[in-house]
Amino acid sequence: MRRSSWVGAAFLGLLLLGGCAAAIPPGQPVANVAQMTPREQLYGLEAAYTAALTSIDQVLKSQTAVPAAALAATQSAVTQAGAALDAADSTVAAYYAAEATQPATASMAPATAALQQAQTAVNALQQALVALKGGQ
Amino acid sequence: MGAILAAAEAASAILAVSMNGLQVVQQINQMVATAQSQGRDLTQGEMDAIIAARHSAQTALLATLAAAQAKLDAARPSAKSGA
Repeated sequence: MRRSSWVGAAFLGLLLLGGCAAAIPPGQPVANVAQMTPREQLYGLEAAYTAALTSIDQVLKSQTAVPAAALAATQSAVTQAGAALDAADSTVAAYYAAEATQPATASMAPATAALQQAQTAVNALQQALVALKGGQ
Repeated sequence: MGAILAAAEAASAILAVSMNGLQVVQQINQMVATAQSQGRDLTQGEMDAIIAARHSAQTALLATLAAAQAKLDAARPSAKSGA
């Protein structure tokens, strides 16, 4: 693997360990995605999503009442981002399987598209988290 | 679900599935660091374990959200009056 990829991954890890997704402004790239492999992008999104879940859980458990609209928006964002990640999981796995068996014809395009959709959904989840915190 | 659990069990030496999302994030980073020290990308098995852990965290949070929703529903005036 290219060293630059690992530098990006390590940077991402530090960000995530530093304080979950709340530390990452919504919509802002957490690392140089262009230098990362599909699998690296995927586990970065998995970690960002899980970190956001943790923050949401902490907010929910610290509040006595949550605005109904924020709760519904959060629930929807969690479900949609989870579904987008599931789609990216299978698409990226299919890419690596094709690359292993038919490297001449394996295309990264579907994986790239699925990862972009998952990134968008995770960004939306982080925005839902910000809105939820705004109700505190 | 069975496949997810099976994948997680296969990689249990590397990642114990946890309901604590922050632990999951830390374990992902630990897994990445281990792979990095070995000069390789994550394996599909390791990715499967990450995905299984994420599903566990997702399930736990959805339960928390459902509980918050139930609390909201119970607090509504119509619910209190029994209407």
